[in-house]
Formats: sequence, C-alpha cells, structure tokens
Amino acid sequence: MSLDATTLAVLRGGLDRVVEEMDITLRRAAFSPVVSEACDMANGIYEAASGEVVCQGPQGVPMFIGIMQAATQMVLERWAEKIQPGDVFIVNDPSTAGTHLQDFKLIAPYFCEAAAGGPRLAFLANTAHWIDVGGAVPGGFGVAAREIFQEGLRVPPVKLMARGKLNEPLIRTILANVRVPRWAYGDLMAQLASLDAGARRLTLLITHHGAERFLAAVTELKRRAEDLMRGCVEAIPDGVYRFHEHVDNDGVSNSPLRIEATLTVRGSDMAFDFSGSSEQSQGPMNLPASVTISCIHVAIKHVFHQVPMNAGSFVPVRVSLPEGSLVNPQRGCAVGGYAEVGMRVMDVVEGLLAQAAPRAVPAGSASTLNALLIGGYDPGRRRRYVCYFFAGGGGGGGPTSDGLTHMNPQIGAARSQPVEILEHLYPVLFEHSRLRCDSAGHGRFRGGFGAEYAIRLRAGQARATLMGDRGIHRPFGLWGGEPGRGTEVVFLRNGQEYRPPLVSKVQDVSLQGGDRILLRTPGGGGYGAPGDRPAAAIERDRQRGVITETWSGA
Amino acid sequence: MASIITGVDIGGTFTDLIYVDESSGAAGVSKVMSTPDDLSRALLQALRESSLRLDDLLVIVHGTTVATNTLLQRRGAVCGLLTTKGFRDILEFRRRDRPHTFGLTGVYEPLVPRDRCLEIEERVDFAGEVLTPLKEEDVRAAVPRLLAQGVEAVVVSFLHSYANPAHERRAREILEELWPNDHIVLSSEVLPEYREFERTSTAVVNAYVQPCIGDYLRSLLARLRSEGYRRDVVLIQSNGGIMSLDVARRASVNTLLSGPAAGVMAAVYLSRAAGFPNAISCDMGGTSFDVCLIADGKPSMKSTTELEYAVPINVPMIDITTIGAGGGSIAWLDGGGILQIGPRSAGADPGPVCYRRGGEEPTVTDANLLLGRINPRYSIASGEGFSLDVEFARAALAEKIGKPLGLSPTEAADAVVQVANNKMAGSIRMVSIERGLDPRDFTLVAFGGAGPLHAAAIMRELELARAIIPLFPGVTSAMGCIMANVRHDFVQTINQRLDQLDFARLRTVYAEHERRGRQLIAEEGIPVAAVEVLYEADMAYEGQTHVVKTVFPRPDVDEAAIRGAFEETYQRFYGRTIEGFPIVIVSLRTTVEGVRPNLDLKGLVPPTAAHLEEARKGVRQVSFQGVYQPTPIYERHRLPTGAKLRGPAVLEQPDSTTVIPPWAMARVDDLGNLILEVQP
Repeated sequence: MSLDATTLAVLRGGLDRVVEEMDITLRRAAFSPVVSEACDMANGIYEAASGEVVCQGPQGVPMFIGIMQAATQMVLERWAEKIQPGDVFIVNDPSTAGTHLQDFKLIAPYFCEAAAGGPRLAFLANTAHWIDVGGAVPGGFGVAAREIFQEGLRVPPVKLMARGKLNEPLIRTILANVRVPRWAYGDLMAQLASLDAGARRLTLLITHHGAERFLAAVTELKRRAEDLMRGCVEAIPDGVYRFHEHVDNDGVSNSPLRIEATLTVRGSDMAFDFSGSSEQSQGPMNLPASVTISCIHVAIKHVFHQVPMNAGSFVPVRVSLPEGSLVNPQRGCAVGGYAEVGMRVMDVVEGLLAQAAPRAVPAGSASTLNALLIGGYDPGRRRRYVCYFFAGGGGGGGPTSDGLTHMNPQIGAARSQPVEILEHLYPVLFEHSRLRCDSAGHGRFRGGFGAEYAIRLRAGQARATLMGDRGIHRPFGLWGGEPGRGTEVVFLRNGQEYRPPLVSKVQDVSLQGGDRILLRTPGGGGYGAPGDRPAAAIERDRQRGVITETWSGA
Repeated sequence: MASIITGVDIGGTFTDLIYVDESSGAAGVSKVMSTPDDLSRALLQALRESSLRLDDLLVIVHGTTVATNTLLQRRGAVCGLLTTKGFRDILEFRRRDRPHTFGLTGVYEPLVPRDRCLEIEERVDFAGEVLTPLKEEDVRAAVPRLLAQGVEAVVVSFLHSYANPAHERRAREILEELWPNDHIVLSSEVLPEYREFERTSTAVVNAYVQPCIGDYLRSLLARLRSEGYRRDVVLIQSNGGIMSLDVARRASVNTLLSGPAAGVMAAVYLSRAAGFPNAISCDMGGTSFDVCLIADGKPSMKSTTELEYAVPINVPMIDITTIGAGGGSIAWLDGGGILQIGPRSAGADPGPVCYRRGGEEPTVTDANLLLGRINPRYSIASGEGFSLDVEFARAALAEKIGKPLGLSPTEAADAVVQVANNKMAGSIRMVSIERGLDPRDFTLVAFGGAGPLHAAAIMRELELARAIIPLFPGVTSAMGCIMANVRHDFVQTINQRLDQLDFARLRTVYAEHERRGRQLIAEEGIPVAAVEVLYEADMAYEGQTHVVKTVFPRPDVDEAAIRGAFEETYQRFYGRTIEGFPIVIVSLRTTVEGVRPNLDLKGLVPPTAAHLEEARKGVRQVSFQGVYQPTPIYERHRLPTGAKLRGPAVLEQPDSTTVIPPWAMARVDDLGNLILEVQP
C-alpha cells in the first residue's frame, strides 16, 4: 500500500516515541547504576519476518543496534513457528548475539490483537549490561580469559516467558550463577517493564493508523534511509582507501593486535574489507562478526549523522571479514574485551572516511572504556558488591573546534556515574576526578583532555580488574595533528606502586582498605599542524591550567 | 482605596497585561509590543492603555523571561566556584555526554571557566562524616584570586554537602568576613540532594542569573516607584507559585520558567473553574509549543530540567515540554524527502513569508493563511497592524513543499498543518503516557496566539472529548499571574531504608520545611486564604538511583502507609512491583502553598450580542480536508453567553483566531470560554 507524506511523517515520529518510552522505562526502573546512571542499554523495534532493525531509542548505546538485530534474527531462526504471543526470549550468548556476556538481551514478538489470533507485526527488544554474570572475575571482564567458559554464564536464546508465564526455574538458575543476584533480578524486571511499555505504546500507534500502514511505513522508512545513505556515499570520491590501527595486546601476552581495512568507494556503494587484520586472539580481545558489522555502521553514522539508522541504511555498505580473525572469530573464544576491539574497528572506519571525506571527520578520540571493576565484600554494608566504573577520555580535534574534554566513548552514549552515588553504594572514596593536564594531542584544533581518577578502597578486601586499551597505541592525530596521551594505571598497595606489565589490562589485583588506584585516560588526537594553532588559544589553555610549557613546546 | 490586582507577562515580543478590580469587579486586558532596551517602558504603556492609575493598584504580579534569556544568551554574572580538592573540573566533566549521540565533535563552555574554579582542602563522606576538616586558609586565599578576576558571585559546592553542609556554611562565613556581598551561593542550600554535578550546576545557574535578576527587579521597582507606585511587585516562579522580590533575588534559579509557568497556572485555574480538573495546557506561540499535564487540578512538576547542553537545573519546575512547533516554525523536507516542521522558526523577524519582510521559507502561519484560516487583514498587537500576503505564502509553499512532493499549494499547506498538528499531538501523548495516563481522559486548554487555530485538530487526533479556548488566548500567561498561589518547595536527602527508618527524623524534616514555608509566606505579606502543605517522598527499591515520587496524606505516616503509597505509585509507572526488595526513602519533599482568594473574572467578559447572528462578520472561503468551503466568520467577543455553533466557522479576536472544523461544534460558557467538542 502507498502512504501519503503526512502519514509517513506521523508514523515515523510515533515509532521514535515508542523506543524513547522504552528507554525511559528501562533506565528509570533499572537497579545497577551501569544502566540507570550510565545508560549502558538499548531498546528497539525489529521487523516481524526479517528481524531487521526499524529504529532504536535515543538514550541507549548505538552499537547495540545491529546486535539486537542479529539476536532477533537468531530467535527467528531457532524458534521459527514456535514463537507465540506472550513469549519473551532471553539471550547473552556472544556466538549468536554479539557482545560480552554481561549484555543480556530480551526479545519479545509483538502481535496485533493477539487474543483474536492476529499476525505478528514486529519484535521489541532490549539490552541491559548486568553488573555481573559469574565467571573468574567480578564484573566479568577477565583480561586473561582464554575461552568463553571462564567469562561467566552463557544463555542461548530461550524462553524467559512463555505465553505470558515467567520461567521461574530459569530465572533461579541464572541468579544462582551471578555475584549480585538482587540487581540482576531487578534489571531483568526493568527490562520486562520496558517491553511492556513498548508494546502498549505500539498498540496505540497501530490501532490508530492500522497494521497495513504501519508495515508500509516500515518498508518506506528503510527505502528512504538507503537513498539517503547512497546520497552521502555518492558525495565521496570513488577510490580505494587504507587504514590500520592496533589494540595494545590481547590481555595474555604483550604483542599488538592489528586491525586493518580497505575501503572501496564506487558510486553509491561502500565495501569494507578487513583482510590484513590479526588472527583471533588467544585472550578476550575478540569481536564477533555481528558486532564488527554493527560497529562499522555506527562509525559511519558518526560521520553521516543525517541518515536515520535502520536496516535500509545498511544496504549500500558491504563488509568482508576474514574468518578466524579477531573481527570474525570462531565460536567459543573469549570476548570480554570486545568493546575495545569494537572501538578500534570504529577508529579504522573513521580513519578511512577521514581520507575519503576529509572535512567531515575529527581526529582519533580516547576510544577506550577503561573498564575498571572492583569486587569484594563490604564490611560496612555487610554485602558482596561489584563496582563497575568506566571512564571518559578526550575527543579528537575536529575540522572546526577543539575536541571535547571527558567525552564518552564512541560506541555509546553512556554517561558517568556520580561520585556521590558510587561512594554511597560501594566502599570507595574518590580522592580526585579531574582533567588530565597535557593529555590532549597538539594541533590546529587540539584534542580534548582525558581524565585522572584516584580511587581509594575504604575498607575490606577486594579484587580489581582493568579492561582497557590505548596504553601503547594512542589516539591518532589527523592532518599533522599529534596523538593524544595514552592510558596509564597505577595501583598503590601498601604504599608500593604497581604498574601492570600489559599497561592497559590487568586482572585480579588484590587490594585492601587504604589501597589506591590511579587511572589516567587518553586525550584526543589533534587536527591540523600544531604550528597553525593560534597563540591566543594556547595562552587561554595555559591560563586555565590545562597545559604546561612542555605541551606547547615553548 | 487600592483594590486592583494586575498581572503582567513580559516576553520577548509582547507585553501582556490583565487586571481585575477586587472591589468593583471591573477587569480588562491590554497587549503592547515589548521594549527590549528597557522592559519597564512597555509595562507602563500597557498600564496606560488600560487607563490604570498606579495609586489604584494593590499588587503587580509579574511573569518574566529575563532569567531564561540571561542563561541562554550567556549574559550572566562573572562567577567563581569553590570545590572540594580534586574536583575543580566538576562542571567541565559534565556527565561525560556528547551534545549529540551521533557525531564525535562538540563544544562545551561551562558557566564558570576553569581559572575561576578553585579547590579547597576538605572532605566529607556520603554519611556526612568529616574525613578532612575544612582548611580555612584555602578559603581566605581564594578571595583575592577571585576578586582579581572580577568575580561578582561565588558558588561553594563541596562533595556530599547535602549530608553535612557545615563546611559550606563555614566557607560562606569566611567569604563574607573578607568580602561582604549578596551573591554567595551554597549548593547545600539551593539543592540538598546527591549527584554532585547536578547540584553544582543548579547552584551555579542560581549565581549566574542572580545579579541580573536582582538588577532587573531593582530597576523595574525603581521605575515604578518614580512613577508613584507604592505597593509590591511579586514574581511567578518556575513552580507556578508566587514569591516576593526579596526571595527571588536569593533563589533566582526559581525564576527560570517564570513566564511559561504563568500560562500553565492560568490553564489550571480555567480548567478547574470550567469543571474539568484533568487538563492539558497547550501554549502555542510563534516559535514553540509548550505542553503541561494537569491532573486533578495540579500541574505536573519535574525535578530536573536542561535548558541547554550539559546545564542541568534540578529545582522543582512545572513540567513543561517544549517542542519547536509554533506559528513561525519552518516547514522543510529532510534528506529523505519527508516533510518536517521546525524546530527552526522564522521568528518575528523576518517572520513568515506572508509578512513580506524577507522570509523565504514557508511556515505554519503561511499554511494557515493559504487555507483561509487566518484573516489577512487582522493585526495582533495594538497599533502594529499590517496585512498578510496570501500570494507570497502560496508561492513559497508551492516552491519548497508542493513541487518536490507533487502536491498542489493547498495540499502542501494542508500537509504542513497536519504534520504540525501531529507533532503537537505526539508531544501531548508523550507527556501523558509517560506518566501512565491516557490523554483521552483530559481536556485540552489551548492558548497562545496560534493555539486556538489548531486546538480542534489536536483534540480529534488524540480523541479528546473537548478543548477549552480561554477568553483571551493571547494574554493567558498574564492571566496566570493573577491566579497563582504563593508557593515554596523544599527537599532534603535522607537515604534511609523503610524498614530502618528514623520516623522522628522524617517528622522533624517535614516540620522544619513546613515552618520555613509558613514563615516565608508570612514575610512576603501577600494575602492568602489558607495555607496547604503537601508531603512527598522520592522513593525507590534499594539500589535504584531513579525514584518515584510518592505522595503522603500526612507527615506522620507509618511504615504500612508509606509502603502502600510507594507500591501503588510504582505499579502505575512500571506495571509491577518487586516483592521482597527493601524500599528506600531517598529524599523528603514538602510544598507549602498559600492559597489565594478566588478572583471573580466575570468582569472580563465583554458586552456581547443578543443573538448569534449579530456576532457574525461575514463569510470566507476556508479549506477543510482539501476543499474550500464558504465559512462564516464571527467576532469572538460578541458571541452571546451560552451560544452554540456548528462548524465550519472561524472566530476572530484581536489576540487570536479559533478554527471550528466542519466536524466540531463550540459553545460559550458562563466564564466566556469557548468549549469545543466533536459533533455527535
């Protein structure tokens, strides 16, 4: 059926509202501050027959967009005609649904007039990062894990709810395997509340406009996104571009992992070929193919923001990933460090597009979560805890402005958790949380500054893990700009300094009350030659105390 | 004997005035162009236009956008910030967010630049325990450094000061000793709540706008005094209540939404008086569409607002959702060829294409004009009449919208109005459904110059039973000024589990809030008929960081009552409760409201015609659903009380135009409101 322009605009706005309401519900009802304060989550709508993404909520992590599509498609493939109204599927298995085990996805079919046997019209899905999934290390970021079995509990796509009835034994089994079951259960309930909210809202929209129009709009929105993307690609000169980047190491031994890609632009088509990338790693620095693809799309979207992100925008982009490489590894490998690899993939895509569309892309950003996990027993509050802290760093200098200081990493829109809330929940004390002087890469437009955090364990015994990167291979500068400073971490135990041999990765550092962790995050790369930076800009930075004489080379 | 209450809303474009004489019942309105160079000039002119003598005025209640503009245009005070050692970059760090989800560039300039943020050695933990005593020398040393940088206002914001404000208070004493001034702001006084960035930001915004608001109010009062005015000027706050100028000078952050809040308060009053306490207030002006939900006669409130990127303000404000859809909003096609409205606006200058002042992009007003809904020869403010050019509007709609979409100019205009209506309806749906409420249970109150043009369509889109169009849609915010109650809000974070709650503490906090509220109301001296107190708590299951606001009937509630109230509220929001999880009371909130005596607005209703036909001005071709049809035009203010008319019809009045489509009908109620309904 054909749709008039007005109805299409209205339905598009309506769909955006459905996912936004799901975002709000999940965030507000969640228990772990990783979701409620940092928004490490996503909500979306997917097509009924193909599982392709229709739209995703604005508050979540963009990178999940392609991953929830893959998860929905996996449910479709495995369960096919056994998908019933009132079902909700749960999955965290990376080999089918992408990211690390902490990301639990819920997927629910949406039926029109389910009671009257109406057809399935869509899927609603969400993801929330759970604070813990068992495994060797509190919080699940084991940097030395060599197989997935060390990383925690793995759940294939199974029914959490069948025809509206919760699978209680399954829930009890999951909760028996995690360190903080109360939060896991609370987050699960929040995810269900979000699916309910989405279904209610979608029903209003479909009742109003009719199922046929709804389905026609979904198809039409995809077509238009594809057209828009093609328009953007056509504006780039045809050609072959190359770029590569490195992950510091694999968490087990200290040799770099290479991510290399070739971009071929021809007319309105783009082809990415990741030949030349390292073999899959023996440690957890691996990126399942569905996530690699998702990261590529998000990186493109950071450059072409005007293109709405749905399955249509994926069509002009072809991706080729060598099997057995770290961007398309075999099943069963450890994946806990996927986010770091994913961000490096995004850096490569940005580096490629920077050559193809020079004025549209900023220099390299901090591009690491630097996930710091502290887990132990809190004697004051008398409970076991897992504190997951992930950091911000500098954004890259851009074509018209300096980089943003203390920016969230580009895979997500995650926010920082307030120090006052972290101190309220865990036995930690922040001695400082401040701008890291001199960390920005010099350039006509300098990078943004990274951060320096000093965290003291107040009481009890704990184990700390850092899953970070960019300690050795720093955020790149563009067009003569200099790289930003890299990650540094120091543990001060009993007054003794400990710097991890792998620089940005370490697990199971034991701590006791009074010990401290100093984490310094990367600054962004500079854009353009440092000599072109106006003296007034340098003087202003000096006055504000964010650079010293050393930085400016004076 | 002074007996006239006057409400004045001074906006960027117009200054609106309304007055009611409490003894004679006489009332009137006036609307003049604002005078940005000296806002009080327009106020005095509006008073003259209404033939009011300053001696006869009892009080002037004022709604203003000065604070908002000061913030948005970054024209505020030079501020300094004292933080806990190690946290100087609290503003610059934000919550780490980017301005946009997609795109990796962005610029952020904090309201206080880094060289004016100084660190003080001190530390308190989450329980309020002092870990490091305040190093007083640090505070003393800060003073000359701040003065050297020309600082006019200082914010003191230490970690966990909501739990123990002693260090902030002592720092203020030291600052005052060395540098006596009125602009020292403590985060623990502005907002004793956790989340250090939001608390600091709120305190900084307060300091940033405080001197400007103070100067503005001082000069406004001085001007009125020089003209012989002896009485008070009071201000509408963002929470919809009135406060005295003295309070406003200290708690300036509370004036940010003063103007829009006044409009909502009018909607609250009008909908209640008309017998529909569940209402949706819709103010559609030139650039924006402001929506607020009113449930059971109370406007919904929110505790956090972000007026611009990374500048959160966490004080209770009327929860007004603003979208860029006004008469001046520009219609355009996005890259995918989808018709969009706003958020860009043609504003007052150049204005819509039909103004013929150089605007080239079609707006919602151009579409309404082409559809025949607006009279091309009708002026808005007194003395500023000019005619609108239909052909200009038609050409722009054809060129920019019609041709690319394959639509005729009229079809294009129709599409523009429909998409605008849907956008507005969408935001109403959002604000109601977000709270678990069905918009169909609500009555629309549509005002602002453009609101009555779209009210019927929005009403139908949302399947609402009715819409109210106030007597003077274009001066409704001024009307809200004279109807608002005196109101003060208090909050205190306590963070206690319900099963371990210190009930004495709870009662003490509520009692102290109530005492301060009553004292403020007494000091302000604005006559009130009664004082009402509302006790609320921000509650959550242990571990959750977002709360649901739970209302208690009394301050001396027991555990069962608190649990019951929380679970009921939680169920409404999330469709379930979670058994066996501990419940936490995060913060206690108290609202102390001085209820003003009811005003009689009958005097506003102008002399009307005896028969409907006498109010009829003529007939015009107006397009509905793509077909132009002869449509009767009425003089709104001559419609007799109780008159009923069926659509299609257009009602004109100096400050607005009401459209009644063929499927709707309207009646005039006793208070002069129009009530729109769908024809049976």
